[in-house]
Amino acid sequence: MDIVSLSYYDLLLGSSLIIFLSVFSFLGRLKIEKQLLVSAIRTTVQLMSIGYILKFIFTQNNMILIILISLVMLFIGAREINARQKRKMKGVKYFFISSFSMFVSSFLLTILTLYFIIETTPWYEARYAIPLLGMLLGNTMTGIALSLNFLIDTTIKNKQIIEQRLLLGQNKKEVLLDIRKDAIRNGMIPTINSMATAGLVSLPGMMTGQILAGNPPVTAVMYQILIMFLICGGTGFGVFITVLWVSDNFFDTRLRLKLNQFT
Amino acid sequence: MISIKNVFLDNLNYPISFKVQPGHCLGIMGDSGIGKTRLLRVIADLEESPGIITFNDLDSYQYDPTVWRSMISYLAAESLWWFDIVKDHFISRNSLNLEKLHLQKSILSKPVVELSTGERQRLALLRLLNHNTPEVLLLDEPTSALDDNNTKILEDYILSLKTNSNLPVIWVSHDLNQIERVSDRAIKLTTNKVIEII
Repeated sequence: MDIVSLSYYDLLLGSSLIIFLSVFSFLGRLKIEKQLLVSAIRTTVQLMSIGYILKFIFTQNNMILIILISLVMLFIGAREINARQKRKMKGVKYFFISSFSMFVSSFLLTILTLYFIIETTPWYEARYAIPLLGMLLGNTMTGIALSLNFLIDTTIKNKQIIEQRLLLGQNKKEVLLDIRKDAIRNGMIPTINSMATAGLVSLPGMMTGQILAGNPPVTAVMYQILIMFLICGGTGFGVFITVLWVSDNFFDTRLRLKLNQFT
Repeated sequence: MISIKNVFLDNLNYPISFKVQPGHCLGIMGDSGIGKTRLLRVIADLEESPGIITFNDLDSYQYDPTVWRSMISYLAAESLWWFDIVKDHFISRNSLNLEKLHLQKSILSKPVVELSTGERQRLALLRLLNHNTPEVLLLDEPTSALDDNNTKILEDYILSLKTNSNLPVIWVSHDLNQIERVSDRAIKLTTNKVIEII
């Protein structure tokens, strides 16, 4: 099947939507025109750059190079988790926690999938490894960031209630039980919802991309189902690890709340 | 016996030290913001402060914090509730002594939002006694939301606990008459010194 390639002119036509929207925003004093334009430019520059980088990596298919770029992606994701927090986490410790949970939820899962499920040869085949890792990182990062935001914000808002529960002789696990559960739920709900509506309300991006690229719909669907399971599992593990680990650091050794580590 | 030795608070220019014997009540007064609540929080180990708190000659650090807070039971000035229904805040509903504080048993089934401030204050004391096994009672304005009649009822109840269980009690209040009624000894915290008022 022939693939219809897009020209720069086609992209320019597409971008006219952003320009129209910016004009409406300006006229309606919504004050989002600057953000819209900057984000559109960022998308273009970032995606074009990654396009050329991927082209280079795919031709090289060098394991070291793939691992290096994967690590860069992982650390940017971990940094982004903190950047998305309403209350920022101070210290290297939290960057480490975010990196570790992203490692388990995305990195490790990608390796296992490549090795045991897709069974590419070699297992680190860049054409599979990088997009798979990218999809997992992007989705688990959102889940982890959402759950952390809820966890930290709710704990700070409920400081007095937590302290009154501590005064009843309750331990860390007891006082945080409800907040932890809700935080995990908060991080998981978007993923669960997207699984529930996939194919009915929306056609997931990866599947659409594959079909547009000329792959048979059933192959595309199979990949999409696998990806959704991976995203769900990865987000679940990532959220679980992060929520438990971060909330464990809310207290000092005398079980006193130390929330001044969040700004 | 509970002993507080060389505890420093931000607003005071001196360290605080005192002891409270079993079966005795120490009243603490002082202007708002002087640090009375902070002192109780430090004793309950909710806040760190230089100084040593000992109970029966053992340093607070020698106890697990959950055990310490269960023994050194602190009733905060404002009672907070986290479940919708009152009864869910209690671990056992037997021997709650509701009637001693003039509360009906049916109050346990009520939603917390329907409670008056006075009911919340009385229930908060029962909740504390329900969860903890107090060896010391720290009370921060425990009757601030109560009318005269209920204040008297709650004072009598706490004093009977103090006597029957031989508890040391530290009672913070703004009401000098109340301090005179309940305390065996009382102090007033000021910026530069502690004044013995009883």
